[in-house]
Amino acid sequence: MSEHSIESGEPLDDDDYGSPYYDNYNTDEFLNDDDYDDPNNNTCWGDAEQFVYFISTLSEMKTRLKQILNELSQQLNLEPSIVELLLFLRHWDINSILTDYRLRSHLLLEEARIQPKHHDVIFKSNNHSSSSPQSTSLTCMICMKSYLNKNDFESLACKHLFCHDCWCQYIDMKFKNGHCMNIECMKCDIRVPHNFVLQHLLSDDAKELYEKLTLKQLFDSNPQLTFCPGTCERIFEVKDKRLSGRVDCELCGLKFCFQCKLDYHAPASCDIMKNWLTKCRDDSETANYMFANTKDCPKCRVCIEKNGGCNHMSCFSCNHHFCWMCLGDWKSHENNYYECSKYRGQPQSQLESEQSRAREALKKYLHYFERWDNHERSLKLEEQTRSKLLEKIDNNINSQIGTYIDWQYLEQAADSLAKARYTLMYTYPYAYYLEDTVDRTLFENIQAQLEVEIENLSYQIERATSHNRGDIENQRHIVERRRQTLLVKYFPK
Amino acid sequence: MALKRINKELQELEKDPPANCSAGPVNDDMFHWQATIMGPGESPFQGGVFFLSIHFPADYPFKPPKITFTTKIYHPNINSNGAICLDILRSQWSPALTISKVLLSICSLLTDPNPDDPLVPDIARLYKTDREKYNQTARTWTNKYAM
Repeated sequence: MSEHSIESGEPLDDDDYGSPYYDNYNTDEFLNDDDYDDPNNNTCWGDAEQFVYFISTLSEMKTRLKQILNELSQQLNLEPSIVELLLFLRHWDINSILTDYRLRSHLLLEEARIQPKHHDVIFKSNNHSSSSPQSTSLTCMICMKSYLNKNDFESLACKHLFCHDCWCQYIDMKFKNGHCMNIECMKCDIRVPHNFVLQHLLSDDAKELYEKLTLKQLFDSNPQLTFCPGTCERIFEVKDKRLSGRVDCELCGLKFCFQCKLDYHAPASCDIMKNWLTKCRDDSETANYMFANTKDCPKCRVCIEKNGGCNHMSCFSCNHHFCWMCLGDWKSHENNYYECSKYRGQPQSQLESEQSRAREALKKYLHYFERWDNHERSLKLEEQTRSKLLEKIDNNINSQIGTYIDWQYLEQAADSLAKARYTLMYTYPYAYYLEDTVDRTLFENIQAQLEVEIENLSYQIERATSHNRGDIENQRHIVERRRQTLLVKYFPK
Repeated sequence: MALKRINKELQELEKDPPANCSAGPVNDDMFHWQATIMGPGESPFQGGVFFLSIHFPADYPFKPPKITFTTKIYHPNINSNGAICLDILRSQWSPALTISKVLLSICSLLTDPNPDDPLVPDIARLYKTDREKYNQTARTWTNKYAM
């Protein structure tokens, strides 16, 4: 595909995370981070999530596919629907198809189950429609109906003859059962190509659906392409191999992973997310049971429901400042040693019995699940805070307290906060599956640093006034840096 | 269409019956058959006679026949309801297969169980870890239920 492609579609530079926000004030006041503005910068401050892709519409891709199929079918002297099967089976590796075809064309077609193995054809070819020698009529071995004309029978390259009605019923049944590109001959494993299927599907609806599904399977077999999981039917394309990069579909409002199409999940990998989400589904009953929606103030024991994203709680009744996560005094979180994101296992000696190991495993899972779930909730709550914030900004502008531009920083800060919390949320599945090595301490430190800065930012945003713009911008900057540090180090590239 | 094919299969079965198997319709309903399999010689089912019930779907042979054991049998791929775990009865079914071929496949499944894809995990485990005990239990069941 490499030589045939990529011109169509609009190039979309995916450097929006981070960089545009700095344009407004990126003088030398805070940090000298001109590097942020250069998405191609490969220093440790380059955008770790940078991911370049192209967008094409379905009809553009269809035109391109048609072109490729025509060119290849001329070069190989094969029917387009056979070329389509080859393209699908070889994951669009056109060069390998061409070389293999030149070197050993029959082997290529045999391996692809398009042609039968050589000896099979010679010895078996005419035995299949069981025709009794004395009569001139032919019997279809599936329905046992007799036909006078040999033209009533159809076969693939394997020469297994069956009547038209049986082929129709068979292909219709297979298609209804979810088979598409992988329908085989009724007698052997030779693949049924596209045009043969279309000739035997009865309803127009089925034909249309078949066309649509084959197209999808065909594009999905190309490691450089991915369909938008939303409804826009657009196709995203990368230059090299399939990676777990972030794709933004602004039409569907989705941020998804190029590789697995789940919600974008850096720094966790696709495998981790698959395991984690399965685990959360399976264990959610237990987790829900053990996880209450409210917590008691550690000092006065009054029952508290969290109403904002910030984890720095101040008790309404006794004014005690504490951390929602660990219920510890907030004072212990203010200095740089933020501990509540770390999981503390029990010393080895206490882990002897199997029961206590199981309990420990559940506790470990719940530790991470609770944090994962809490950040998810916080994200939702901060979405509300954000709309309140916008309202507040509007009010301020209307009552002549600053201009729109003066208040932009607050909106941007809320954006950064959401992004950072999103990343932080996905560090918990990552940490859960992290192997117990030396690296864990370092990861937990970086994670904790990010977390404490996020909570600071969240706290400041919720209490923003016209006086603390500098503090908030500074804090936002620190959060973005911490986020980048974590991603650069732990997000697989 | 299904009826024509089923009739043809019955004729073929009568003309050329497969070894150790027999099959035919129950009463006058051509879509419901009963089959018997004699326990294969080199298996712990030797000497037993196993009955099976066969139901043909209306769109046979495009859909596989439903085949279950009605005689109790101790086997990793056959459960207490008589359900058989055999690929050609599900995903690998092809319209070119016949009842005669399926019965022969079931016979070879009795000789060679497939413990890696078990329907009854306990029996599969015993088959893999203690073959002697498995054979013994299977023989006891055969004596008790199939003779």
